Amino acid sequence: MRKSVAGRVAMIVGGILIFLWCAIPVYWGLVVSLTTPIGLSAVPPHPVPDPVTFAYYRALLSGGSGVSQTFLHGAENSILETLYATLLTVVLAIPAAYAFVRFRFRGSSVLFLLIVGTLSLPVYAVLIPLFQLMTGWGLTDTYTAIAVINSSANLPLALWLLRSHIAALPVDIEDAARIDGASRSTTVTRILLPLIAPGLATVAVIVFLSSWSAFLVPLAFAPTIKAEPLTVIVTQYASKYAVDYGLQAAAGVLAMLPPAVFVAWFNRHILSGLISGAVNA
Amino acid sequence: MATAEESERQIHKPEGTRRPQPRAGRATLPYLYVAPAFILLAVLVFYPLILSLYFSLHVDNLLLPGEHFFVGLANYAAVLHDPAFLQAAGNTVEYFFIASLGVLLLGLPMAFWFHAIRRGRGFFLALLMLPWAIPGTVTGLLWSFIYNPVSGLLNAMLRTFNLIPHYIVWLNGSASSRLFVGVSLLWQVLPLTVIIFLAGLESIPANLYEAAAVDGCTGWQAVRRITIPLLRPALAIGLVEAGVLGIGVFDQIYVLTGYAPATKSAVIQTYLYAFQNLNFGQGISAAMFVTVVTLLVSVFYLRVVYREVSY
Repeated sequence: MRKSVAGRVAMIVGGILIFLWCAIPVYWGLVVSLTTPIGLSAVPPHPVPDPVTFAYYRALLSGGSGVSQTFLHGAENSILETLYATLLTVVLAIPAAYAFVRFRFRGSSVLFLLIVGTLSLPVYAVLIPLFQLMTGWGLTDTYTAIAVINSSANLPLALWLLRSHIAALPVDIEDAARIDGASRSTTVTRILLPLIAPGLATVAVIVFLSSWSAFLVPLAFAPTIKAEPLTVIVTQYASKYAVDYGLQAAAGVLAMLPPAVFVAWFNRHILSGLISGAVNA
Repeated sequence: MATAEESERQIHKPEGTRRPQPRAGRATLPYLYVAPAFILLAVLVFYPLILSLYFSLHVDNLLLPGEHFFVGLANYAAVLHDPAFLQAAGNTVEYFFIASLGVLLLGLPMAFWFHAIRRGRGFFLALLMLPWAIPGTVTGLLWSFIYNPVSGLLNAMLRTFNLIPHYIVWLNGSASSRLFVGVSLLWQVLPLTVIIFLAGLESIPANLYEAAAVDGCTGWQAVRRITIPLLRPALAIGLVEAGVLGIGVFDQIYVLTGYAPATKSAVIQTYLYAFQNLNFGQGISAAMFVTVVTLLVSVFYLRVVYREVSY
């Protein structure tokens, strides 16, 4: 490989640039969230908060004020909607993926193409008719609407990823279990699921992150705090007269905390899932 | 109708070459397994899609209750003649080019860097994926703190190094605002494309370079003759991702500049039609239009850039 001095210098400079590009916006958001209102109006702003204040975080998390109640309610909405969407997606994708791998049945390839084909369909393509449907069913402003829509948006990718995980398993293991008298569903739940657990985790994390970030869907379907997730709440700290930047920043930092933790812990799995998801485009 | 067992026998292949074979079972079993997933998509994707087609050909406006009639392509024509939509569509074309060019000019070098790095790879890959994982509205917030004319980082840095004479309002509603909004979009788009390019780079066998080196082909020549041609599938897929995200941009713009004409995207305009003007027919027509363009762009990249490669 390249061992020249120029090559080394290029690698180091490249590394610094990539580091700055990825980290600066996040770092600066953190700084704003920890700077006092007086510090925020300083010209030029301090690169490091001095003094450090946790007032914005306290205001959001204390539970006392209206601001805090809204934020905590939004956090609860985010967590529950995302969990429901993830759970529903995985529960629906497992049997479907299994059927597409282990059975040949009439129309299977058409069904598979129909399902995976929706991967290329952006969510705004069906947003407005969905809004009319959900309004008709009385489901606007509910967890149900947001969770099922987010689930339908992620189902094709989940199915695609799970299919390749199941296809990679030797069928003999299942045969052995079936010969020992296990039913089909027992085989799936007791033998197959533990074996594809890492793949399942990958799918769950990717669906979780995608649902957590969803904005257009909750913006349209959650008009009130009853179902508004954090992605919507964080856009609301600008009033007609003033913007509370510190509060905005602190809310933003809290909203990106779960994704950041997932990326730090599961990055390897996320990457493998994304790559195999992308090549089916 | 053939049962599952029958079709199994028909496609039976000799031992050794067999993929996981279908098992004997009741013919209805696979349908039962697929049905829940299919029903969800049928109700929430296929049915709305058909409704879209229907409504886009009808007048459907909450401000005109009771009025509901067939108008043919009038909604589409209205949208395509609406200056507001044309402006938004023009902006969106710019976002598309910013995302595509950014992915080629920044994403490709980044992928080469990740391909070459040995130490600290895990750390940098996690750092790379952070912007991808952060919700779009939060990305918009983060960049608003950078672009803020008074307390923003960009003005402070440029002023400290004396590169600008005075503070600048970056998102001022002029054409350049689109570039700054586009940068925040690119920040979110790059990670996914970089890892797609990286996966493409890593799939190129090292012995190709060794053989080429024996023949005296090294350095830039090797990149041009070996890497770029073999990278075409990854390039195509990366460009599709960038194009789809660039055309569909919504979240960041909503936060950074709201509905401002100079920066609004086509999807923002779609949202305005439906949820501000309450004109669902036009909103759906605009959405269908954007969707079709997105699909055409994807197909174009996959047909023109994608080349099946074998080693």
